[in-house]
Amino acid sequence: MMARVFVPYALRKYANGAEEVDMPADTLGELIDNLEAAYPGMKRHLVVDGAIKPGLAAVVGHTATRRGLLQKLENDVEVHFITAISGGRS
Amino acid sequence: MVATFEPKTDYKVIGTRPIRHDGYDKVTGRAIYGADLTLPGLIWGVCVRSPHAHANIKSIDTSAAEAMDGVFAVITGADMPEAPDKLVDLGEGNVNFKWASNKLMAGDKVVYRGHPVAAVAAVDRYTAEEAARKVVVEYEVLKAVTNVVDALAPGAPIVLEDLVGDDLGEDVTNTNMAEHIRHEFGDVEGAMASAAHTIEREYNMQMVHQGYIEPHNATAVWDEEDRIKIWTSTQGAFTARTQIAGILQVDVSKVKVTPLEIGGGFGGKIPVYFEPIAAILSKKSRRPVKMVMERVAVFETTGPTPGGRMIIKLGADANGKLVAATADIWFEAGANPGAVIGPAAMCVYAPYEIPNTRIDCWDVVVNKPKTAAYRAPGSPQVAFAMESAVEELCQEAGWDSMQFRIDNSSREGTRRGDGVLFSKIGMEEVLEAAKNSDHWNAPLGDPPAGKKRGRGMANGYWFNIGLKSSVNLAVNSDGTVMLIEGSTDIGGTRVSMAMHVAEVLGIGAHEVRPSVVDTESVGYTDVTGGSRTTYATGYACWIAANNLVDELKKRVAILWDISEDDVEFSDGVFSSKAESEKTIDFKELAGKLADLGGPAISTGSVDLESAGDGFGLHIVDIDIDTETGKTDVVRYTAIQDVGTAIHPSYVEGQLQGGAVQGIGWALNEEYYMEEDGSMANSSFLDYRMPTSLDLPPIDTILVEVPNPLHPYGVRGVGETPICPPIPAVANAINDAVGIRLYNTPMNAGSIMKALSK
Repeated sequence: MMARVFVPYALRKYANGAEEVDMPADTLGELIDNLEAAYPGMKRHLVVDGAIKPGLAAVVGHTATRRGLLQKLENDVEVHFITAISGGRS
Repeated sequence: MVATFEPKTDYKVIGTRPIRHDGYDKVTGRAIYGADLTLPGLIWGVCVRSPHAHANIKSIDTSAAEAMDGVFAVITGADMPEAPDKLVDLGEGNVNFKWASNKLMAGDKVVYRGHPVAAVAAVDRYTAEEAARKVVVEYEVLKAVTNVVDALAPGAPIVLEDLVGDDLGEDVTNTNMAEHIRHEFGDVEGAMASAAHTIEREYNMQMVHQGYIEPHNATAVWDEEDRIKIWTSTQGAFTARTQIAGILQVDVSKVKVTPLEIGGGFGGKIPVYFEPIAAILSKKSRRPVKMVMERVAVFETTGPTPGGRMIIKLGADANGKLVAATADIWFEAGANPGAVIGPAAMCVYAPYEIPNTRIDCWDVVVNKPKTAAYRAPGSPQVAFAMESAVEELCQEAGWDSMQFRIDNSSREGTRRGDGVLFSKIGMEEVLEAAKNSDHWNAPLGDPPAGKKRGRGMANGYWFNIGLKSSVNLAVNSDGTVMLIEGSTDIGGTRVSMAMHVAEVLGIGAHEVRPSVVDTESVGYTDVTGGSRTTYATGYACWIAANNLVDELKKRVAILWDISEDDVEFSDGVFSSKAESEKTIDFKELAGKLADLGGPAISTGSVDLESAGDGFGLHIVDIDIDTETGKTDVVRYTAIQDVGTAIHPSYVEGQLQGGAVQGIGWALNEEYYMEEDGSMANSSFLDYRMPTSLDLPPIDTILVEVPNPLHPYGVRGVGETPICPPIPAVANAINDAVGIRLYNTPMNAGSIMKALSK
């Protein structure tokens, strides 16, 4: 599967300034590992203790996933990492 | 894959208006709230609170209080377990146990006025209050910062010395900025430069409170087996349990939370305040401890919604199409990090399709109470800025603002400001309904002598959440069904949950008896908030009811000695596929269950994504007295895509309640802060919320665009309606007297000041 990742603004510096990147992966966890392999330094901003970083929401398609890193990805699906409903650091 | 459903219209129960199951208990006063609770041996707890908004604690002497007759326990920050610096999701909001613990009881520093520095438990409330007055605290008073501009100024007093802020992914220290996020898509500068019309405006808003009538309360028993029982007024018993266990550093299984009736919450009763303190007092005194908050403390110490500063810039081409937008948003977090900047970014451009956008948001710590969720947290603020700017852009360009909203409306496939694509939404249908509404097409009419009349409108948006819910069902022998749920009932959800079950089972809503239970009597359920309960808990009810039908088919198969695959169910009647004349209805079957395998029960649980994006538009007519600046709302209509209205009366009530709170926010409400960080208006006498005497009836138009993600098409509805009122009122003021107000509240003083220029 090939996902279309919208790179969070703060992490674009790891992706040579790219707003979007295409990344092969079958799950969200695999996607983040592949992002880290391609753009070292990105993963620590997305994953903490083996789960999506608290305060961050991963949107797969239209909605925030409830499956975390196990979320399966369909071909051409959009993936966004946005600040969760809670807002900033808490 | 997410399940999707085709819209239906041929409902028997959905869409009707049965009387709520808890109605008689509520109106007769029989319902049990936290202040009503009593237990054998109950004693009272009260807090000793800081009179300063920002101060170091040099010493605390509790000896005189401890020596008083009738005093059983005195605690300070030294009695609080050391909570970890760990962020945990609460559904609508999250909690960092370290900050949450520090918020409840100060360590060596107070960071907001009213910050507890000690707590006392005594034989009765008056003895506890007298003992609290005997606690001697020596402070070193520090300069307070109470707004985002002062907090970010060079050399500003630092509220939290150990705060590490996140500036676009980079750590920063010695700062009051907890977080800075940005969303940017497209060529914003290029598109803005090419725009035929641009507008840039700054807006400032004051902090406001949810204003729930029932104050916070908690009763706690810490028993001999180190099990902690809590009775409290909360929007989520399970999330309260998570917070209590995290702050007290015990396993969640050691904590049992019983939610009592709740007299309003609006997001403000998701955080815990008294619960851990009452528990520690109980442990120390070995007695049940009850605490009920005073109104002043509710205002000064429990989560309001952020005030802040916003700068919006819009660019449109010569044909009236938006081409670019930027938003800079600074929100007050209160005394701990965590302002709702993420939702603000999600919502600011949501009603519009704009190809090039940038949003910058800052979460700023100030010496005020830690903010909490309040009905569409973050969205009303940005709606005020965005919808005021849209109206002013249209005025300057000479465009009809209703047509402008239609021409630029978001739709399926529109990208939100944070980049996420909308699926099926109802913004265009709402605009169409508004344009065709009686209110929009009615003449404005003449105001009374000495007044000027104006009309305004504005859009609003909330994304609505799904999350976790659990329910249990059990059939009684008389054909009724017990419904056990974990969602606290704030706005009539007992009846809407019962209706979900009744529709499936083909029985009446009052033949389902709903009960809201404690954390040991049902599976995990997230908060009643985020406009999720009718959607998610209703979905769980639908699953449980269908599971119950499957179970009952097995019993019918026993009764008729046929395969359960040969049993059909429709409209409350089971029948044999092979012999259609062989039927038995739900009630008759219930009476036979004792001989057909015994009790029939079922469960349902969900963990859902979005509850469907919610869009609304409000229209308001106002009269302004040009001698006093007093504003009277004379007509108001709230229009909203509600998906499917399960119980239309309560959907209408949500729209009306949101509108009223938004009108209060627009015209009157504010935390009026003194320079020393104290709140000058911490009572309902001085903090002026609108009542039924202040407003006309609020008309509603329910636009039903069924949500394909819910079996009955439900969308969340409770939060969207607080978003449009503030800009709608601002636009109406402009229409009436020609002034444009950029700050809230837009009270009589502000209007007179602007008129005098």
